[in-house]
Amino acid sequence: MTILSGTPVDILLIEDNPGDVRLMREALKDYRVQNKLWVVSDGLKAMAFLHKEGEFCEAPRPDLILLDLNLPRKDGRWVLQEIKNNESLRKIPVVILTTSSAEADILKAYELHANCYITKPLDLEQFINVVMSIEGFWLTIVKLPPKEEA
Amino acid sequence: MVQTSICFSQNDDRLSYQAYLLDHINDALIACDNDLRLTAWNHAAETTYGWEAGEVLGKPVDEVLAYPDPAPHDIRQMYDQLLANGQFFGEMIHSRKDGTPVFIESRTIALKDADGNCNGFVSVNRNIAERILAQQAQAQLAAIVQSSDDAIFGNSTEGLITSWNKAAERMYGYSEAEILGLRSHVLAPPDRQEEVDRTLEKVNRGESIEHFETVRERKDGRKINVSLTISPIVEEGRVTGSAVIARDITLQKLAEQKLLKTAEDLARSNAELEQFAYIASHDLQEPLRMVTNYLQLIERRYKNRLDADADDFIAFAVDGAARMQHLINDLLSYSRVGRRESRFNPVDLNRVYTQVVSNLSVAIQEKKGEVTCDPLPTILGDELQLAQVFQNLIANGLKFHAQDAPRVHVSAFRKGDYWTLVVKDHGIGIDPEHHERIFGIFQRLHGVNEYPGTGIGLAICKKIIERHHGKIWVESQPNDGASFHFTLLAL
Repeated sequence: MTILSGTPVDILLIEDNPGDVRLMREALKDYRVQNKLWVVSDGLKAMAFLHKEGEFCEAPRPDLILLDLNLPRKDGRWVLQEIKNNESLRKIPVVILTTSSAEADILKAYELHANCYITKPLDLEQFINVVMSIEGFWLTIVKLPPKEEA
Repeated sequence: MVQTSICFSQNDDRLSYQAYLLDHINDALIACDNDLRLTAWNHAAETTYGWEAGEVLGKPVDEVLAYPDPAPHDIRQMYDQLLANGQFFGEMIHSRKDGTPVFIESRTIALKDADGNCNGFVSVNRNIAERILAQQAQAQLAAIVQSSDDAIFGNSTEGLITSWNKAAERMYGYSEAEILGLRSHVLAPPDRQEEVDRTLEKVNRGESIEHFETVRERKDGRKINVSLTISPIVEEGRVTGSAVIARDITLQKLAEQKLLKTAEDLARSNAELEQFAYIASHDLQEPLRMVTNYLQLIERRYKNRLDADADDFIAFAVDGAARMQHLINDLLSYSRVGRRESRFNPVDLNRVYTQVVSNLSVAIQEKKGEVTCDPLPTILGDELQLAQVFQNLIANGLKFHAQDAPRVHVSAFRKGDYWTLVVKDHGIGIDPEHHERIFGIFQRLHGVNEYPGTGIGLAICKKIIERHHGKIWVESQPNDGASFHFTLLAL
């Protein structure tokens, strides 16, 4: 599936920090591809969204998942495992976006089959560049698997 | 009638044969008459005492043989005794012709005539100098063993204790009388009995055991830590027993344990501190990110839409936040030096140098700098961390240059077990009063606008070098460049 201009892409952001959420929105404003950013603030809500349960029964299947590792209650590693253990969900690319540059975290994320791991940069310019790169890479350059019915 | 030798009749072969034998036996054979005048003096007597027969025959025996100690008249006493008892056997000191003493073991008998009256004496005197010396040597050895501070005892091949010195009595609490004949197993606690069997087997095979640390039990039940050295006693190729030297190392062991505990406490305390630094900086990052990013957003979005003052305020705020982030980053790097597991491998410093120079190539080009090196050694260390050290030091050399373009040179020389690396620049130099301070965390000698940096570089170098069991220091004078020295263990 290639993204035709005009086809909005659905991005699910799993992030509990409102500051980071807002930053992501601001950064995505400049993105040339039409996108809709869906936000959930913890792991349980994330899985409910992906399984279209409860309040999320109308939720779309995201084209890309941005996942913060440090979430309240169920942390990002648990969410990653859940997604990758699910036959249908595991096809959605997951980008780990987090502040930790510790080697142990990186290794664990890749062991859990994250598609890639990006450390949140500390500078706005850099942050925006990173976000642009993610979207640019995964949604424009890369071929994604066709959208299935859940 | 002076007899010149014990050779009576040339014609009597049997007699002359016997006389010949007597003349040539190993021991000195001398005889004297009732008046103690010498009547016989054989070949061995000549060699033992130094007098030729012709010189002494007919002279009084005490005059010839007496040594001042004991006094001369004691010899007379000996002969008086002989008259009473018929024989004498004992050790004495005689004098040689040259006056030197000779140790003698003498068997003397009184000769009787047909009526049973004494008509002379004959002595067989043996030179026991060697034996006396051996006895003295043995006595000295025994004295050494007895006076030793270490317990020394002997074992038979079955493990029975055959000797026991004073120190052993003190160390184990058993007296010599109590312990002799018991098996050395009594000295070991129940859980060490097999060990005693094994060491006995080993030493009976002819092997030595050196500085073997173990536990033994005193008579009163108290356990002691000992270091044992057990040597086989070999006589004519066969092991006939063993000698055990035991040193009480209980105090030493206690001191070792105390040291270990202190080291453990220190390590734990360090680990806690490092973890604290890590957590503190890690958790400080998130709110700081918010401040920095949103200030930058404001700057982006609203620059030139607010008044000039607002622009200035925002600029200062953004700058402050950025600097704070650098500080936290550096603190994190510093605390990571300790958290990284130590993996020491052989590291070729030439490769490290090449990599670092490549990393700094942009900076080198910008400043038109010149970085050179001598051939560098291969040492034991952590390659990544050593690269950090080289990078920090060379970057500093490039940063703190004077008017001319920066020149940095790396060299090395060996001193004993260590290599000393030197990173030398020709820059602004450092006043001796700051030579220690600069290795502290966040210590800077210049204002923020003069030279960039948070002042963590040298602190990180110091931490890394100290983890490598080396030292780092600087030799420098103002305006005369700086030479940073650090030591690393040779391979």
